[in-house]
Amino acid sequence: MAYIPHTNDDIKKILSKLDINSTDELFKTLPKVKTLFPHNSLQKEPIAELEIERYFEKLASKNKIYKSENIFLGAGSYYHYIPKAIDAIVSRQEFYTAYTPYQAEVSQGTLRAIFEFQTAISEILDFPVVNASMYDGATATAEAILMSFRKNRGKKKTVLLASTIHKEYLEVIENYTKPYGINLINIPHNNGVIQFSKVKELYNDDVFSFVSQYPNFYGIIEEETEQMIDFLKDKTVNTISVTIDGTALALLKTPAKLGFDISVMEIQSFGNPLAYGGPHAGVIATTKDFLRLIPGRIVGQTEDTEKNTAFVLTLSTREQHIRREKATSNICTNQSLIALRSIIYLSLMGQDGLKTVAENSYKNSHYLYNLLINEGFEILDNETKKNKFYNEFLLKIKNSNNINKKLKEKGFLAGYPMKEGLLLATTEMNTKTSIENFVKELKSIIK
Amino acid sequence: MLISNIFKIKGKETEYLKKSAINIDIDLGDFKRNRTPRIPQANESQVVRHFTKLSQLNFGLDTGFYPLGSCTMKYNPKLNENIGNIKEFTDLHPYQDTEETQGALQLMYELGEMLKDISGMKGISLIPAAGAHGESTGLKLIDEYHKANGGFRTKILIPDTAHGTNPASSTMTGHEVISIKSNAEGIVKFEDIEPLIDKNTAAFMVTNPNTLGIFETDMHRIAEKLHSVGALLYCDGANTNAWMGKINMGELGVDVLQYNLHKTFSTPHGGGGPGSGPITVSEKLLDFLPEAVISKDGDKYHFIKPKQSIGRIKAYYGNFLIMLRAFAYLLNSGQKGLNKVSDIAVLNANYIRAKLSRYYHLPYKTDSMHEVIFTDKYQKVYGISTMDIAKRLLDYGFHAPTIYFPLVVNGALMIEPTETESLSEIDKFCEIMIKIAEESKNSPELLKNAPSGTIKRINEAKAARDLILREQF
Repeated sequence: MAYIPHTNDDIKKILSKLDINSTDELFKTLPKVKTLFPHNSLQKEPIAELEIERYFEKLASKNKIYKSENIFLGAGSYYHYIPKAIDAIVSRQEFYTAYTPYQAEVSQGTLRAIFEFQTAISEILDFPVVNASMYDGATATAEAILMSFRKNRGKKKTVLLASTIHKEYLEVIENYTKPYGINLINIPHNNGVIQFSKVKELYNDDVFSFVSQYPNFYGIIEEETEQMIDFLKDKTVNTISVTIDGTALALLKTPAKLGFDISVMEIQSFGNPLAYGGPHAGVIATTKDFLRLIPGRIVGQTEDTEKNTAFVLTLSTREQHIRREKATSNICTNQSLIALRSIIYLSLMGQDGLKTVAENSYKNSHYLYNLLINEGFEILDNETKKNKFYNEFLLKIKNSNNINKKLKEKGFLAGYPMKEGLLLATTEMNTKTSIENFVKELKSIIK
Repeated sequence: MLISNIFKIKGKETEYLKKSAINIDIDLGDFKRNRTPRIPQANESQVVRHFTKLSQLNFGLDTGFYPLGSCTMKYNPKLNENIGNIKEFTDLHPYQDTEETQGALQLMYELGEMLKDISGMKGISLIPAAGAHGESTGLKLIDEYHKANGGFRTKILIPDTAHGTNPASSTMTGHEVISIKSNAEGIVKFEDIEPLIDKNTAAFMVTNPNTLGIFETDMHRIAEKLHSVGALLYCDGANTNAWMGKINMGELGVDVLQYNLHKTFSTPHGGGGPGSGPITVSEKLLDFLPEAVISKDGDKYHFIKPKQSIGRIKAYYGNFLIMLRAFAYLLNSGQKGLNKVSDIAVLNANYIRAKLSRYYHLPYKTDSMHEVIFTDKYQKVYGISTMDIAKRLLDYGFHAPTIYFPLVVNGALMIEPTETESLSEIDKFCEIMIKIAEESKNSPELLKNAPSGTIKRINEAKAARDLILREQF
């Protein structure tokens, strides 16, 4: 209502041109209705901006947020530093109000930015083909499995899934693969890692795909990954690696170098707020083998009639608006602005900055780890050799829910309570002091 | 013209954080990365300049009119952007205890109630991230219903005017698509679909009004027939802007209706997302809703998993910051406001229809609702196509309408003004469209050479032929 510019005069003019007396006549062919707004939950009158702002302030006051240095909760979403310039750039109306870049000549801004996004992700994951975003890491993983299913022309129907993948990702995978009758074999873990011997044991010749998370949900880097990939490679199994906190890859060997065929990443960690779970975004990166099968939009480079370099959405024959029921996916609207935020983040942080983010995240988690070990706490680990981890690990304690609650009262967002203990994460936002305070508080609560 | 390239801009990186002073070595053993990714190395001032220059190559909704049919490019209120930045919303971790997120839960709950109210439906899920996501989720609910009531049904009946996501969602959920022909009036007649409805029919998936901007007047009768054989009705709510405060979809027999918050409810398009595609459902489907549904207990809100839930369709709870914007829009509108929105949306579209029907061919005599579809039939005789008309519009500072969709219309030019375009803007648009019709006849080379701005017509075929999908170093 507030944004309709028509004056009464305007409306009169239009009605007169249409030779009708009121707008009611425009709806005369519609069926008769018994009740409109039957629940009466939408209020009758428009509410003005000032009141709306106040209402939102009230709602906001019912949410609790923590000081960033006291956040030790990850479990799939990570509080990394977001440079202020990102908001400044994406709040330009040319970026955030713009439509999908189907009219390429007036959308070179979006198209070039996404092309740069594809390039940056290609560099980070070390794969040549990257799409322009999916709804999130979970749906991207599910769609990567379906892509792999299509590659095998549906001849094989089984997927090996590491149980150390984020639980919600596993649930989404189950939901997406069910209509295809795909069998999901869960690879059980031993103290937070899956083992090559188990993969070998569970493999059968109906397996077309293998998925593991890197680092996994427990924060652990699966030591036997390369052995698994080598084994599966000559069995024409498409191997898929999922990374949730992408900053890890500033330090970690790329999924491509480990031998994976496909890499999926959640990009929330690259300049996007926690946002109570959304909008985040996922991305699929892979080899040229999957070029015709990959879902989602892709930006390609081309020229205009005067041979100027230009950019355009390409390989559209994969997509729903062209192929309809034969499309590689039904995805249309994706998470373009989140991808834009991510390339701006990577550009601002730069090579050194991203490395600093990762090193600081790593050092903070390892400092926390060391302090906890010194205090006699136990971390989920191998019996024989110490696991490598990035910025997350599981603290083995009983009554994790209770401990978590008590730490909250002291102002710490104290990890993710699980049956086995507390899953603790750090980023560059934690400080030496906040980590020490956290351990101090934990100690006093346990004693 | 050279488009700025972030990878060629070298400068001293701005430091946003200090390197940690903690004395711990990075030990990743065999998992150590050997080569630094070649992401940009530039100063903030240079990065900002680069992306600012890029933005100036974009046409935005605040730049000008986007008459895109079926996209509902209405004004994006700035209030919504402001509240979308409130820390107590942006900095909320999805796994915080619900005791600490009651504001967020209340927001989602109230939004859900309002969206149910608008369509007259009984249940809601806010989780789908986009319209297509809502479609595939809705179809999965329909499947669970059938499995619990006699067995999986494979056929989805879809009009030939449907958006591509409809058949794509259907095959993605394991169905067979049966395409239904629309008649000369542009709609699906009861008599034409009735013989195709049987016990193998899972659902009829219809957009109403359809992608021709025409109301599917037989939908209610078809719903009765569907229900009589145990089949369900899916209504794609992309064109909701046409009927708010006018009809009750629940009453008409709809079982699932998905909304597009980034269309009807003013949330920004973002250059291709994020959007949000909540689904509202009839009583039959309540138990199957995806995890998790928001429930209210006295004055406390929490998540529940319906007994026969289809499970999880994406991580967490949906595009929360997008829902927040739509919620503000609904508070701003109220029932009266939404009613007026549909009034003016349909009024504007019919005004354009009346003004342009002498100059552009109308493929359907049937009444248009919030969008009107023309073709290039009159211009074809001069060798001018819909593509040429669209590109010429860019020269005049308008975004092109939707072109070549739906496929049932040859050379379709679909125009949806929405209610936020003023009379003067629409008059200007019509004036230009008439001018272009005249240019088609007398100076067609102006259209053939369009757009004539800094970027000329782009070679799409070359992009697919000589694939360059990233910057080469």
